[in-house]
Amino acid sequence: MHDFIVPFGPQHPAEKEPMCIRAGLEGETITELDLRFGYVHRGMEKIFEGKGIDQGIYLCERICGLCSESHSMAFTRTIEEMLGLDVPMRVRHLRSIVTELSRLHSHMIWAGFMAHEAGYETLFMYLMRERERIMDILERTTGGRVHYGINKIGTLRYDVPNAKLAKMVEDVDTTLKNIEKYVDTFRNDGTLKERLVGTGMITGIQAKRFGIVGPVARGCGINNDVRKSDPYAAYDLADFEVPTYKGCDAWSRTMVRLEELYESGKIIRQLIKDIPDEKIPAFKFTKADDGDHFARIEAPRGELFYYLKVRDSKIDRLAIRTPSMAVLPMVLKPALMGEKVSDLPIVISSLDPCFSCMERVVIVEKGKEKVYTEPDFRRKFSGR
Amino acid sequence: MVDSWRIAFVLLAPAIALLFEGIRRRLGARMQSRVGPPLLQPFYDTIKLLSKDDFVAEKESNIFFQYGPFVSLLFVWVIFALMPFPLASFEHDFILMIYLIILVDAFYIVSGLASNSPFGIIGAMREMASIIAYEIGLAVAVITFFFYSGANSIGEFTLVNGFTHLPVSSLGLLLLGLVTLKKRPFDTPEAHPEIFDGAFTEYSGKRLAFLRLSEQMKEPLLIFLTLFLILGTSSLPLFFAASLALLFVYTFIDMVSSRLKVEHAVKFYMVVLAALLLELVWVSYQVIT
Amino acid sequence: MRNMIEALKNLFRKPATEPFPFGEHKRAEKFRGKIFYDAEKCIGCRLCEKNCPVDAIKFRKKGDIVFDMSSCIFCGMCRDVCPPKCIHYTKEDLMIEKDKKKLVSDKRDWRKQ
Repeated sequence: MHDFIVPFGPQHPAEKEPMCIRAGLEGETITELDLRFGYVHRGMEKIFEGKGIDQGIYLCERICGLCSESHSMAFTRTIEEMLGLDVPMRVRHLRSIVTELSRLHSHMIWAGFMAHEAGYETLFMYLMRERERIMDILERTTGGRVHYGINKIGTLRYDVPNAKLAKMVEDVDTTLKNIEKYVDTFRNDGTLKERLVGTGMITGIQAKRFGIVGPVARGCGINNDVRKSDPYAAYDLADFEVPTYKGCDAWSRTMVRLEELYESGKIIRQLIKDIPDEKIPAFKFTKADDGDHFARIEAPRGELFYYLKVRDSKIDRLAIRTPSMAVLPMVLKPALMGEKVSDLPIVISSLDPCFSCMERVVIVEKGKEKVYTEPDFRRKFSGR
Repeated sequence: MVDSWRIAFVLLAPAIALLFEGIRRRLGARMQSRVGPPLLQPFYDTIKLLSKDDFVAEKESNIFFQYGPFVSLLFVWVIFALMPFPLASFEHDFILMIYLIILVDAFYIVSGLASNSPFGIIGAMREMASIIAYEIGLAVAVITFFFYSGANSIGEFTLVNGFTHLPVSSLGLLLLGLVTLKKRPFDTPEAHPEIFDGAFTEYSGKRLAFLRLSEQMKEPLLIFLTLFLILGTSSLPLFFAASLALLFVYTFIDMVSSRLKVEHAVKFYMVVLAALLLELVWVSYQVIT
Repeated sequence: MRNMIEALKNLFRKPATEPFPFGEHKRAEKFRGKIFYDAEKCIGCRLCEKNCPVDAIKFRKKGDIVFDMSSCIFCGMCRDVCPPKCIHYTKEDLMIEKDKKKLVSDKRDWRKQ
């Protein structure tokens, strides 16, 4: 059984976000695992009820800090498809560009954390230094480093003048050139490879059965990417590849994400080169009939799924299925059983969890899902 | 005979250690494109820690937890007093020094085991696994030097330029010095992302200050000892310059390496130990014939 | 390895860290910091209050609106919908107060301090 249970508890120097993994250890080997989360639950889905559609864009950005643009894009995609709006090409190009920039910065901070968990703190500092250039681009273009607020229904808040777009390409190119040697370190360095290859294995069958998405699935050979299978914004106009590795271990997932950095660079360059010169429509309040719709987009961590119900031109219900939720609770245990405790931070980091996104409360009663309002919930569960 | 400035050296040992630590942090930060803390930062840290609340949970109030860190610090300080000429004083057997170095490490392990948290225990266990290989290696390397020079005690040691005579032992000493300091790539007992702080996790306040200080004092100790054996102390400015150069090299290696896992680290130590043993055998053969 | 060479080179370069809070503190033009409310231009349409996603705007009367900076999420909605454009986002981002009630922006011009 286990010698003792170690709580890699809510506060931990290795994790960016609070989660509790209670690992049963025998010497250095993990024999039992229990994942608990819920420490950052804010009740976001409840907050959305009753808000207007235009306000909803800004609220849904704030679900997560790293993939904020993805949430915003998902929301706008859902509404625009529901209303059948025709979005101009320039808007679509610019939206893809900002999404790809967001993917760049998310993968770079992930790579930094990966290096830090493996012990290579210097690489972490260097990657963060390069990431600052991307953050500066985003701040100049949209006004915010984390929450951009640039999407509006059917249009954008600001247009980006073409001169600024040229500078953007320069900066992205400089960053990607500078991080080449760090990517090379992940690819070739002996000690890093030693720690990453063969750790946290998930079989391809498990991957298919659990329905995991994103770079974790692509590291197991499953080639699915919403940008290719269900294109949105301007992705059908860009020529890029979806990197897939068959290794099923932490190294494959690392390489998938690092190569996605370069693919994002390609997309940004192509879309900026081909951007049409037109005027962006002004912002108007949205009026919508009652109805519901769903849409999905490719967040940096996988497929993000939004289901939206509208009543009276206000949001009645917003249900979000984030990629971390699809991956983490299922895969953590098979990936970590039998590994050494020194591999635990590496495996968790290679799955790239985003707990702020993940926090949902789903109550399943007798096999059927039920949604509780706040007074009901309090009455039933707090014993008052 | 005990000179007054030698007494001053022993009393100032913590200050030297904290200064080394300050240099290491500042230098390491600059290598990472960061600004880094001021050079005197470790002094401020230690003073702050000494004034903080020392919280001891009920379950942990065993005698090792209460006094372990203090004894550890005491031992390290004593080693400083026994440092070879011309830094400190006292004629004594070099075996005493090796014994004390191993004892300090043993107290680190005891402190880790005495805390009731799994993190301390894991850290202590990892250190136990490593210590079997590298401490013996350290002892073997030091013994080789003394055997070769034919000295009977520290005061009589007169070998200069150990590299040409005993290359394997010199390299081994330099490497194992780094291992004893528990810096990257050999810092598994204190691996931050994995086990919080290893043996340090449950300590706070004064005890943490003592424990950290005893670890920090090992750095100048090992650097001085290594350089004494390899270079000798014929020229004091050269000695101190070489100490700073070695500190720089250790910091550099710390910054550009990732961490070795316990099993790989132990295998590595065993290889080094094997090489050192071979050289000891060769030296003994030479001395006897 | 190239990382080693870079580590050595970095010793002689300037650190990449911004010397906050000393030195200059740069923010982009579009940065959304503390709200500045130009009370004289306000026409009292209450569109900002209706459109705030977090209900951080309280309307008292025309020319007298209180923006609660501790609830504000800096989304920019109020600025977008204001017809006379009397709401501006400044570059001020260090909003530190001991009293939460002071963390508001209202008809007083706080920029002069």
